[in-house]
Amino acid sequence: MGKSTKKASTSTLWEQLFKAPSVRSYLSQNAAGLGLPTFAAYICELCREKSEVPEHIIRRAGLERSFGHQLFRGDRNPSRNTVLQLAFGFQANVEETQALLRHAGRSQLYPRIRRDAAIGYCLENGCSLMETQCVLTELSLPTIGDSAK
Amino acid sequence: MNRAEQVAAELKRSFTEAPYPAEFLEQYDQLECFSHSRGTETFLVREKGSGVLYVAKCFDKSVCTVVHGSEILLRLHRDGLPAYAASYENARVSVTVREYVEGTPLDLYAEKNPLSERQACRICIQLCDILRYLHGQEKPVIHRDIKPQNIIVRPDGTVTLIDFDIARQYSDGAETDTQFLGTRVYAPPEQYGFSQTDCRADIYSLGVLLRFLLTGSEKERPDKPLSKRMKRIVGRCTAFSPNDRFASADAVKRALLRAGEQHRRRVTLSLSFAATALLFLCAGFAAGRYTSVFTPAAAAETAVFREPLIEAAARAQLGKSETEPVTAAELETVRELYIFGTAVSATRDPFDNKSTEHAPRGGITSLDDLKLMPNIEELLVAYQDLEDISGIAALKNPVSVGLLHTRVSDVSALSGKPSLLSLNLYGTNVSDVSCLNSCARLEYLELGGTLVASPDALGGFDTVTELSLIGLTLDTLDGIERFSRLETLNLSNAEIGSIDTLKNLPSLHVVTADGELRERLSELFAGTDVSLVAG
Repeated sequence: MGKSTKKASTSTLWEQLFKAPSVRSYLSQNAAGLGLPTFAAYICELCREKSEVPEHIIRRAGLERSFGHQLFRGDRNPSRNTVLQLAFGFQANVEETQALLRHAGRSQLYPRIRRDAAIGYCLENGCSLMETQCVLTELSLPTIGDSAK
Repeated sequence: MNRAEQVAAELKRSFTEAPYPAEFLEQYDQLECFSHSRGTETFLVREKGSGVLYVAKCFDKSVCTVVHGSEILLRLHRDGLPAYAASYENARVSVTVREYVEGTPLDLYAEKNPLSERQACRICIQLCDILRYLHGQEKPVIHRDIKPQNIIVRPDGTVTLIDFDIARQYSDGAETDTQFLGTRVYAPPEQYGFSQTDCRADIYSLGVLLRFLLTGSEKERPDKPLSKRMKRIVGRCTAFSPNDRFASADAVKRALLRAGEQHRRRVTLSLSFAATALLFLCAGFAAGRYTSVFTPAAAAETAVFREPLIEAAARAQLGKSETEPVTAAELETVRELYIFGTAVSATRDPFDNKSTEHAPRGGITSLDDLKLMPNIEELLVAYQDLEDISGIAALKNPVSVGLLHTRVSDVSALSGKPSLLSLNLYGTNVSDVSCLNSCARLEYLELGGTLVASPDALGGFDTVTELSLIGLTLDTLDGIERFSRLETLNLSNAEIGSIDTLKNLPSLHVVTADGELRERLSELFAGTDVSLVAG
């Protein structure tokens, strides 16, 4: 997952961002059978796939602990910012982040928005949430969690 | 240079010049893209400085030649419509900025909360009120794209109609629309170019929407039949020829209200038919004759009112002048009554958003006249010296009651009214509403500026989703967890001691507060999805 060595140019990034939706339709189709909302089922499955525990994801995502667990239990619906934080928790790349946003029913990253392009670039290059917040501040763009949604 | 600075520098180098107008980008931060299609993009943006959220619609001029939305929105001011904020333009892109409406698009809302017939009707009735306003403009505004995706359900259950991009003003001269715009399944035949669209085009889409809300499908499906009364309404809304449709949104609203009333009556009747029949028989035999049970002559008699303002409001509903006689039978058809100080109106519109404005007081002291109009569902009696509301008990199915700025202290006349959904007691002398616990459907409760001084006096309504405690002083909110479905809480200007129990409200979504209370709330809700709004 960690892509600290890989550099992606924004043009490649844009292509990736525009990629057709793919992967993981399995979970959206099977969530009902698990008795969980799609998003909670999806992130639980993602944890298993990555051999991670929610605790670590929540910490890296900078989320309050009980709130984070509520997300994994399906007790809360995440805002778009929360999904983006979770993406950093999962050390996701752009494609995985788009899938997370899609499962949460939130708007996908959109490369013509500079903030989204910067977040996508940071995710793709393995930046942590803190580093990304610094990048956004440096570019005078709203940080994650700073916007009201 | 640290890593973040390095990445920021790389990004700065790779950013190409944005196509949007520079003034727009100076004023707003783009936060997310709600939707994009060829030539149009809809963004959530935040005003720099104020932090207020807006929606910005950007049109690529090389693709879009018709941009109506901004000029139309500019002239519209009403709840249920997004307020226009600004517009910007450069050689490539034109941008319209409008109010951001917090809520859920109706398609997602209906997917998450399957709607009963009553709920579907309530949504469409609200839309009828909005359409009445649009179609009632000097140059009627036709929305032409009414569909679930363009209707936002706010946390308080009210709806807002968005997206005026293809709205147009009806012009008497034109015979046909020049181009097809809109969403095909919701568009009436004339929108395909048969003739010019008028207000009845929106009535058509409203019918399709009603069918969708009731069956989950926009098209008629044999496996999902509509009830007879709804089939009639949907059928008339969606008639091929505009002449065969309801003539106005108001007519649709009346039909929906009537259908709801008939449904309620039928349920009650079917439950009690045998018992009632028996009673009538007994009464008939006891009296020795049947004919006196019904007194048709009484219905034609001219009604006599005690309160001139209530009479004026009833006349406004019936469209009667001061001198025309009003009969008891006519008064039975009155469903709404709006009195605000010394003014009356046939609709609620002139009095919306006026709860905090000062108005000269009217002279109503009794509501006994309501016995003449037992079918009133929506009642607004504001700015009166009224203390005694016992007359309200005569209403069979009150749905929405507003008594703001009256001297009412006892609201027990409303207890046991299961139909009540909304109660506004702003600025009254009420100190305890626990007697209303039997109002099993109450969703909206306004207690701002009342004399309520303890959480116990708030009662415990597990149906209320929106509660306003504006300006109240309470030591604690302990017990608020009894409002287990509360979504929206207004604490503007309130002084509240302990607030910890708010954490126990699982559905709480939006809290309005200011000053020190807001700071404490922001600590309490740190890391949660609860939005804090300034009062």
